[in-house]
Amino acid sequence: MESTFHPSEATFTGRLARPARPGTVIIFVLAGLTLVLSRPRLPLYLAVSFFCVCFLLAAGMGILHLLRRLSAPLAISGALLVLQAFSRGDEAIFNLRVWGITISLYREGLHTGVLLACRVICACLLLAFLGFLVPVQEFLVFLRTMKVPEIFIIISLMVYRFSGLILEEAARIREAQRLRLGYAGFTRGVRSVSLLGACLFLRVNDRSERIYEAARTREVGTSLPPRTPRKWSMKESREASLYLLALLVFAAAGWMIRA
Amino acid sequence: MLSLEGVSFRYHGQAFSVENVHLEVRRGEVLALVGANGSGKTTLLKLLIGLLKPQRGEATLDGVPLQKIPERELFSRVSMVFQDPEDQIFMPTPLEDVGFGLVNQVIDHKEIYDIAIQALASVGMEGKSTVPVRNLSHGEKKRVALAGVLAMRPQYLLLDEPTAGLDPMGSYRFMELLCHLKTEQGMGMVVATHDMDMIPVFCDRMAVLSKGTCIIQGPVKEVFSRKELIRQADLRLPRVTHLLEILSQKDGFPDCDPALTIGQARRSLRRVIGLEG
Repeated sequence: MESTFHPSEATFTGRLARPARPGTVIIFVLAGLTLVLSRPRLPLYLAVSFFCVCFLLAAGMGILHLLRRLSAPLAISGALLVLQAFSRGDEAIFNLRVWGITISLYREGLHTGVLLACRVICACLLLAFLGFLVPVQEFLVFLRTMKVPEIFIIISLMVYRFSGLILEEAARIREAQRLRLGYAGFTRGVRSVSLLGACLFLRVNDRSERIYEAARTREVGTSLPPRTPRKWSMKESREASLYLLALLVFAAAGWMIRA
Repeated sequence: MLSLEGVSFRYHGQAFSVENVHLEVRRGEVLALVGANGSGKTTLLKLLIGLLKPQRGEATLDGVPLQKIPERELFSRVSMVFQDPEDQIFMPTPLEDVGFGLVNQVIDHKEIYDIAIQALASVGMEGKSTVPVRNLSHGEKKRVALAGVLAMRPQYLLLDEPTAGLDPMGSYRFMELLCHLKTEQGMGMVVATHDMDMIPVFCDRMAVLSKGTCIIQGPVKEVFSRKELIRQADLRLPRVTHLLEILSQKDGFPDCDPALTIGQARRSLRRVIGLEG
């Protein structure tokens, strides 16, 4: 049975003005990630990030929504930048004395920090590009089409399910804590968050055992059909080539700007 | 009085969740909330405790909108027992779990222990206060979850399907315990349930939900007399009422007084066959 891309109202992909083909997006993202992770070039990062943002905005995603979803990688990038800029290098751009301690901003650290931060943001944008445009079932179908070993698909599905489990459990525990005044005040909030962290993994472990047992009773491990593989169409090949071409053009433009 | 005034709420991407609901519960009163699966019972409970904010209308406690009451005060006065005790219990032992809310109420440690043990005793769990939660049965976990909120001595208690998953005697004892709390402590309760046989025994009023709207509410006897509305909401009458109905319609049994409980049915039947005047 041939699988087709069905935008659903329940997912972001369903709300996109122009749904994308999963195969082309996956190939683009894989190529983009290979480029970004293998070449430490700032213009390349900026170009790829620019392309991803433009595409997502053109596809109908709101800028605020995008920023909210990227808030975690942005925060990590910021922390990386600050850590690198103030702790690495010999040539100080400026020195600041606070309570007898000299804090220096280093040129080398700043350069490395910017590079690292941009690499994180760019890689996350590529993953967001994939995540927002391709439902996980389609991703798994693609893996199967590409003859990826079955066990890898099962593990991917489990990882996806367990990441959801952690979030679900965290939300439940937080709600239960909140109802018993766990977040009424700063100190209580800190205490509740630490308790949440402590019991979250135990709870997730418990639930994962139950899911594993349920999966075993349904013979997961011998076959896992999210959907059957499908044929790779010429249209998708053409689109993938166009995406890759666009990526190369952006990368080349980045190199030219740098030069 | 805990009330909802013309409250509407819709989850993202859903056709309806709760639409223009008016509801109120007083202290010392048990209100049953009935409706088919997905009719909006849990949503309504979450609106009543302020976990969800109404998109239209207002939820109030003694006339004050819930949003204007500080969380600390609100959750000390209104508490909720979730349908699945696993959602509620997060500490390793019942004693620690019951004590969690008390610690947050800044009560002396000695007192916390006493109150927690007392709360566990009130649900018959004092003997298992230090048993790991994962070793408890579903019914025991339900009792611990109830003890956790009882320890905070709320004025209003919201219960989401409290008897689901309990054995018949277990659910009867659980409801008896709730009745005791109502009479002893004057607690107001809202019970979302599917157990139609329990309602006439333990509840004062009931509200019937269908597709997010409250189609009828009032005293239990009055609501059950509107059989067509009960069936329209994909619900059924208490079994004993249904039996009398069948006896009357199919077996030509003379019309008895309407009965919702076994005691009422017994009296009605005795009257019909001439054993009672």
